[in-house]
Amino acid sequence: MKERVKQAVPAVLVPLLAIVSAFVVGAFFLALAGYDVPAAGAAILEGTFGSRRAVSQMLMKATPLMLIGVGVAIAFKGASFNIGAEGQFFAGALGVTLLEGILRDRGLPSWLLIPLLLGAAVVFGGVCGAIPGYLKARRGASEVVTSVMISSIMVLLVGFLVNGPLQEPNKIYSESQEIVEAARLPRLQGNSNLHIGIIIAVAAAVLAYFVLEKTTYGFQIKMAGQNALAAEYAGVNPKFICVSTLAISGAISGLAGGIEVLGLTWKLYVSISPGYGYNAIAVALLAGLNPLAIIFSAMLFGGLNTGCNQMARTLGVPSSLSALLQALVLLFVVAYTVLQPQILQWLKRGKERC
Amino acid sequence: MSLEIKHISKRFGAVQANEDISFRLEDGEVLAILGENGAGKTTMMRMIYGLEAMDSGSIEVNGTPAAIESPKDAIRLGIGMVHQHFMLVNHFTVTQNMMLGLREHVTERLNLREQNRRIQKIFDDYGFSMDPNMRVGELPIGLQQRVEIMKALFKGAQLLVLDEPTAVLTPMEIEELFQIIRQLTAQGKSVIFISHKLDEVMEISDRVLVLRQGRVVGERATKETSKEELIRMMIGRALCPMEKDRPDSAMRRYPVLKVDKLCVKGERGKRICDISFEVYNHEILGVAGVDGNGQNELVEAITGLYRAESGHVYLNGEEVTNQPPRKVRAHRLSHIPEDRHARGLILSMDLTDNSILVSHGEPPFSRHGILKQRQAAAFTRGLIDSYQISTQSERTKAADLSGGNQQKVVVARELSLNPELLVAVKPTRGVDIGATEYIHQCILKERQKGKGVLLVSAELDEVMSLSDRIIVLFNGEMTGCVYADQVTQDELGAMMTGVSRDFSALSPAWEE
Repeated sequence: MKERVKQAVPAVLVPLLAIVSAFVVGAFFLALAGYDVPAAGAAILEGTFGSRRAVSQMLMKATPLMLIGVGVAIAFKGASFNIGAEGQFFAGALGVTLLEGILRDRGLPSWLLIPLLLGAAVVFGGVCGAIPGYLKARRGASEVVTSVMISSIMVLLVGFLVNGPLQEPNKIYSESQEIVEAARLPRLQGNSNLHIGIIIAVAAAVLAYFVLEKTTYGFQIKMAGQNALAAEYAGVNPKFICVSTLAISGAISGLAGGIEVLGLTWKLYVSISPGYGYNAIAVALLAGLNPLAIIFSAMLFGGLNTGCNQMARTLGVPSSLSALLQALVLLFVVAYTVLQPQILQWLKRGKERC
Repeated sequence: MSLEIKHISKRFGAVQANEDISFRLEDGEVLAILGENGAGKTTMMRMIYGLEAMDSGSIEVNGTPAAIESPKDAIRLGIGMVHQHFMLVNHFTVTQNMMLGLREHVTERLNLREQNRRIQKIFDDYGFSMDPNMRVGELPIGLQQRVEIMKALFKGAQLLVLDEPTAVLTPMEIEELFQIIRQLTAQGKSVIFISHKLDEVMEISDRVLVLRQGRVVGERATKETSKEELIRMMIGRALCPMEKDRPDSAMRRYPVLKVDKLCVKGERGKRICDISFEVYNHEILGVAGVDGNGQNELVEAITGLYRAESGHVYLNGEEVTNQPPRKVRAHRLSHIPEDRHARGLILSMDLTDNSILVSHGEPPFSRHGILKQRQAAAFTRGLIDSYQISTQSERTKAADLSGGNQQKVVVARELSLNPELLVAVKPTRGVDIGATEYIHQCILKERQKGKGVLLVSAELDEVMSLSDRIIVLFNGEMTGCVYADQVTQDELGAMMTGVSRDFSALSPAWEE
């Protein structure tokens, strides 16, 4: 137990350091632009935790990040770098929209329709993940390249469809027709748009943690991820692990896309994701690829987003500056993740000197 | 150059790595430093080279006290070091590598022609013919090591520290290395030779310093000592003699492994062809050969890690040719792989995870796909006890164990699977004497229990002392199959280089 606590300290310390550094640098820029830094900080806190509305807004933003983060983490654990989560998210959203178009006039009840639709999201996303996996296992093609390419295809495909075959009946807006009432995810609170997606996301994170830490399949993922030669030697098929983890990763990202459409937007359009698929990589890295920690890092990023928006509103800070602050956190997270070993050594040496 | 070490001590946390070590090194002398893994050899050398700060003690170079705080100081004083793992940039040429770290030209433009001339002169002085424009990555290991030595000399080394320099070399390359060492000492340069191979120490050194648990336990002139005495100093006792029983002639013998006309097309155009042999129960079949003559391809084809082009492999009479490793292992095959870091262990995982690497999918370590961590941990504690693996706990990472203990983990895991056939490839590579003795006894015990063992090793001593029969591989072909007690090293050597062939032992000895 003691050893576990010891291991957990750096896992918490380093991300914390990243966040603090980002805010320090961010504060510098805010001050440079002539804004009241303490007021800005207060606005960010206010926008994140200040009200029920703010909290539910934060959780809503955290939902897709959490799901995709979990998906990305599973692939990363198996040493597959799924950079194409954005496209898998779109694929899931597209799957939901297509199937809803087919089923919308059948009058199916919610308890049947919603699982069917989310199933389509999982399949669409899963296929988008499995293709790079197959190409890597079979042909040795780098999944970093192929997953991004497939991601672009999906985003552009959605862009085409919502301006063509899937465009709403009035042909005015570049978006699909609004989904039927029965297909919408139940709300958690009557007056806010927080939906049960957050519960699904938390459940997915817990399940992923269980699979990775407690099952033989999870053990095999870690084996293949940490030493593919040894995994092969011990009787695990690294190619199967590669394809299956990327497929699962894609499926979860697809599920996030489906949930976004059914729970929040109710229709498909190109700006449905402000880059969730990429930000989720930072979410997963900040959490050290631990699915349980991803629950919190996703909420942090969700809160950062809503908090910065609040700051932009109350202080009149230009949106580019609030985007800068968010980007800084991302940058520092990635930097600190890469430099983690050095930082730990540095901290340790400081301790020895004392 | 002479060097004097006075009362050096170094502690890492709870471990006293070096305690009150003193010794002297004279001009033109080769001092061998012997010791088991973890005896403190490397720590001491790192302090001499300025890579580690000492807690107490002092160093004198040529009679004057020297403060060595970094490798820069060490190089300035004329100390050169050739690490066990080379510090070369593979993409650079030999010349570029040798110029790395040259200090005097930081502000000047590099005079490449002048440097090339100096490098060529050093090469000539040592009779070292090589194109200095070759990329280092394309050179064989032996030559890469030569580049390291030349690099140290180029920087003006008068004292050369060689950290286990022979671990990666073939017998021929070792002989060439010794030539160079003799040449260096003839010029008055001194050499510290770190090793745990006794034969080499006896051959090349003038004096031997033996370390155990961080302390000097003895110092002898090489001429006045013996291997036996050195072993006693190193491990604190004499080695147990290896005993091999004669199998009962009434015992039923059957082939555990049958390899039939096996051909494998390996990587980089290497291939083995038409290999046929059998390993019987109660038998150790050795595979001798210079590294890279097809041993790897043979083992990987048998264990299912690599595809066979043609031919057949049978385990206990059932064909397993080209089946995936999991299915091959299901026929009760255990495999101690050549490289424990690449295949045998996952260094970033703890001992418990490494102990169930192969059998994690079976009870009692899992049920219905759920891992049983408690059973795994208990099982691992059992292995640690019965194989005397020295580790803090079963949750220690494999990377934190010494090489010998890492190897014991692999051996323990593979033997705990209770195999019918054990494939052991260089089972004592980079392992100290105590652990080597232990692993040899484990292998002999398998034979005693009536199992079959396929033992691949580059060390002839090991193959000859353990095996009942030996097959020889040369250039992907079998050039011999002989009884171990009826063959000499020279005869094996001739088969290993393709000079002669001898197939007198196609069946186990007792049948005659």
